[in-house]
Amino acid sequence: MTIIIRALKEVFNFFCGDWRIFWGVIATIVLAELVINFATFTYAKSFAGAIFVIGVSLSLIIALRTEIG
Amino acid sequence: MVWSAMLPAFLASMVEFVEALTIVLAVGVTVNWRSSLLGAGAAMLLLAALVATFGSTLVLFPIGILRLIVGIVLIFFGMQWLKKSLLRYCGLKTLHDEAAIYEEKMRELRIHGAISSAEFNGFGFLVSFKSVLLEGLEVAFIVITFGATAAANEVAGIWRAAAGALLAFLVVVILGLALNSPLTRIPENTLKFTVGIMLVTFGTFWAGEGLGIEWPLSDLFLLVLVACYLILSTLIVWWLRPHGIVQKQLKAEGGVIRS
Repeated sequence: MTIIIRALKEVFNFFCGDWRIFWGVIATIVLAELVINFATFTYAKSFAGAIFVIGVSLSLIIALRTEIG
Repeated sequence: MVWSAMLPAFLASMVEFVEALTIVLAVGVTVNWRSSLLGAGAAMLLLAALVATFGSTLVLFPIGILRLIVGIVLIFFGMQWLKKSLLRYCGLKTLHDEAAIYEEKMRELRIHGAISSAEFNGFGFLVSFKSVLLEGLEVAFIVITFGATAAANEVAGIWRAAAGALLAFLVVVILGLALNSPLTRIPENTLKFTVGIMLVTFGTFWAGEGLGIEWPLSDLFLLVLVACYLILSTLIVWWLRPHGIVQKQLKAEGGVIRS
């Protein structure tokens, strides 16, 4: 079990290495997907791109903010 | 877009090959060239096999799903590079010093005792193999993801990205042989920052397309994304630099700085 957890941790560190960035990007994707698929107004869909870029940027800012504690 | 597969692969490979070459040179000089080059060669063969295997598997995925998955992974990958390089620019993380790493590795290898310079040495082989494999894995991943997503024909894209990586390998090896020392003059952090911006830009663009976002201006929107992330990075450096100065002062007073 420990080996599996260690292996998963290594894979995570190789691809991402930061949980804040990971969850930030995942939350952004979910939000963009919701806007694209369920937005009532057509103009809301055109904001999906902006939401996506802002979400990704915020993930980086939050990750860096915790670095300076 | 030939360049969109070749350029990121070339730049990312430059960074990783410089790091790998530092260790290969240290093993070659301290242990012997035979063990060092055999280790590096074996790792490169394994990497080529990985690119061929996973590259051909990716071709089976529909382009929409592929772009979403590859885009997300590129964002994660790029964020790592961008975060590290921004922390280094601000003085919150020490700059990668290839000369210092080279000296440290040489010292470690010397501790292992008297080594015959003529015979094959398993330890030297393993050190060289491990460093080339670990640094090369990131290159392999970028070659596969960029190659498979940047061109309409995935196989052709992977070949283009592989050509970019090969070109970087040749440049680094020729420079390494010419100087016979670690490549300290290559501005590693600037390269890392550039690659980070490129990975996050392409990642955002492709993941967005995979989600169904219709970017205005089509492919030209990549330039808008580059501009956005460059402005964001400038603002981050402006925001974090004072913290870096405080860290340096703390270090001077006996504190610790991340490396």
